[in-house]
Amino acid sequence: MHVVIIGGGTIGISIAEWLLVAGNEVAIIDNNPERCKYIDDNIGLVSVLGDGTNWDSLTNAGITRSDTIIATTKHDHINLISCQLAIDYSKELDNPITTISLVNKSEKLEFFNLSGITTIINVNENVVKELTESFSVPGLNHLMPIPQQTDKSIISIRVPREVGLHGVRLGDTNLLNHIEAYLIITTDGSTSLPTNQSIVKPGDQIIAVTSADIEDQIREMLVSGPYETQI
Amino acid sequence: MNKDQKKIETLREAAIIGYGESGYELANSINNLGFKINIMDINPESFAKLPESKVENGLIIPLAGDGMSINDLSKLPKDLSIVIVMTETDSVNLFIGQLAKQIFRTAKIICKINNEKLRLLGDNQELLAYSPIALLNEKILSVI
Repeated sequence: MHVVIIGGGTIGISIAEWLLVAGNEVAIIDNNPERCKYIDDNIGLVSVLGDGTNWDSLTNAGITRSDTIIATTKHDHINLISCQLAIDYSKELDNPITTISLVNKSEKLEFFNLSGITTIINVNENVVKELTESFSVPGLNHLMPIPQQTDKSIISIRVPREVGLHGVRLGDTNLLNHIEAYLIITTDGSTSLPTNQSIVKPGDQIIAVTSADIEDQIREMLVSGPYETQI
Repeated sequence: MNKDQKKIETLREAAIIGYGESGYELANSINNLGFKINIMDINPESFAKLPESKVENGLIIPLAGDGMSINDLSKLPKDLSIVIVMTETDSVNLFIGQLAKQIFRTAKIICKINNEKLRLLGDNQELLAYSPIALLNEKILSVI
């Protein structure tokens, strides 16, 4: 397929590279000549010097034969309007185009949602999510819901470093009051069935079943440390 | 409070977003049509050109803010009858116009958009798009 990307920043270029490797045709519109040169020198002659809100630039980039437009600039107005131009054009032709846009300012999310753009990606939300996940030791992750049991799911709990290198006895924490633990995976990859006597160390993972309504409690225990009474 | 000031308080509200070259003349004529006018510009220095007397008696209300921010736009009176968006950039005006349409649902939204394609887009979004350049062209064509 042919994809028009608005904005040759880090995100635009990464997406373009990925699409090219997957065998697609790509054009990147950027208003900065140096950026365009960088793109042409590094990923192939796919840059179009111009403005995503200018129809001439969009046609130069091949919007009229394009399946998808991805707006990745840091300017929300450019992202919105380039997508709207594409949507208007595709309506005239009765030939749907997929529009994907970044939203940089979260306050505009609702407004973008009303605009008819196919997919809207909240930059802040995703950065925050990535950051929280990278700090997710200690943490609780959802693995899968249990079918027919809407309130229960399989989770993994990573033992926090507050526990100390020597570890604690699982039975001495109050974790087992809240979860049904099935497996301990240690940092070196060995697995064992949990009992009250099992020793868990920082970085170990406990695979367990629990219900959604007490997850917050478990999270809090992981952060504040249910182990402080130990050893 | 004197009679004139009472009268000013009850006037209908209009807003200009982007106080550029023709802003003053426009503000004046909208005042004359019977509106108080709120002027928002990202650069407070542009308010230096405003006539002091009108600012003092509340006929013109300057407000420093970014028209592309929902937060700043929401500082304008909710019951605006008219919003005129006239910053330097077409795409910015089209964007602010659409934001304003969502925030001030009963207001007429007028946007300066010189680019024809974007003007059509504005029309489709039920904005009143006008182009000083197109108007000038028409005028010139009518005399030659």
